[in-house]
Amino acid sequence: MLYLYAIINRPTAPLPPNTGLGGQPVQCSAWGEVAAIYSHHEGPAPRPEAAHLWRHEEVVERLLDGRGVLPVRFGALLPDEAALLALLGERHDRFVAGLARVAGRVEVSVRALWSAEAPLPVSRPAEAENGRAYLARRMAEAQAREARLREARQRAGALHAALNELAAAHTHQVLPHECILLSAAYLIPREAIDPFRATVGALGAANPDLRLLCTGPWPAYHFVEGE
Amino acid sequence: MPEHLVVEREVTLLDLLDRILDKGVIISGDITISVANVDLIYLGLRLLLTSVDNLEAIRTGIPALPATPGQA
Repeated sequence: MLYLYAIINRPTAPLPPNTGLGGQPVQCSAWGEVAAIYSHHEGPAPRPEAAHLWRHEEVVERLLDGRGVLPVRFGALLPDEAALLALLGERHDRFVAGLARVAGRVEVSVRALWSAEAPLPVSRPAEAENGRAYLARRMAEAQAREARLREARQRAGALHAALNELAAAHTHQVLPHECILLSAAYLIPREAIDPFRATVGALGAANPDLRLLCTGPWPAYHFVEGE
Repeated sequence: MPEHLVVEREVTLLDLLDRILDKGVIISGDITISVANVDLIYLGLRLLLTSVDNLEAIRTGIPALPATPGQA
């Protein structure tokens, strides 16, 4: 079987040696303008263990050196080289378009979390609370909660607007969870990594009640569209 | 290890999982790993904060607080 790591443009020079899953040498087969990066694999499908995941990731990251790379999801096996070439032939034009979109660009991830517990309003019942007081308290709670969510959405929107300025594309979710204001991935030019990090740093300094977690550069996993 | 490094390492691993298992080119015949539509940071946040709590506990000798159900 062949285990797949990535799709790249047909290389113009031999790729530097690289070691894949199970210590197998990484190989490259081209069809038309595109090529697949793979290694031989024996036995059952690789399990999603940390060591295997990082090995897959490292193989893909070592390809990133200036070229467009479409990372393949973990666990893709093909029976042989004929099947691999058939895949490249069949999806050739989509791969070419996808590679053009990510060439020279990397993905960066940003999460904005509350530094402390999400400040949800919680009130305590007064002793011997009557029905009217109970309802009033519950209504005040609901209103306070709505106001907090509105504010969070507004702040997440402002963070995203600032981060998105350097991006060619993005995927983002505002308030996917009460603890998380913003969860986003940005496709940015490789040379914009430092300015992007500086923007994250400035936003972090301006929002001391938030914790901004930024990881990357990653291969453009979020910006592979149906290839 | 300083707490911020632990958090950074864990977040990077969660981000890797979120990408490598759930995004990227799909080849027919992939292993199906059922993480689709699950925000791993959402799941992992609890583990992450728990692990930082544990770290704090190891340092101070005080056991970490049990996780509060229904908050994550």
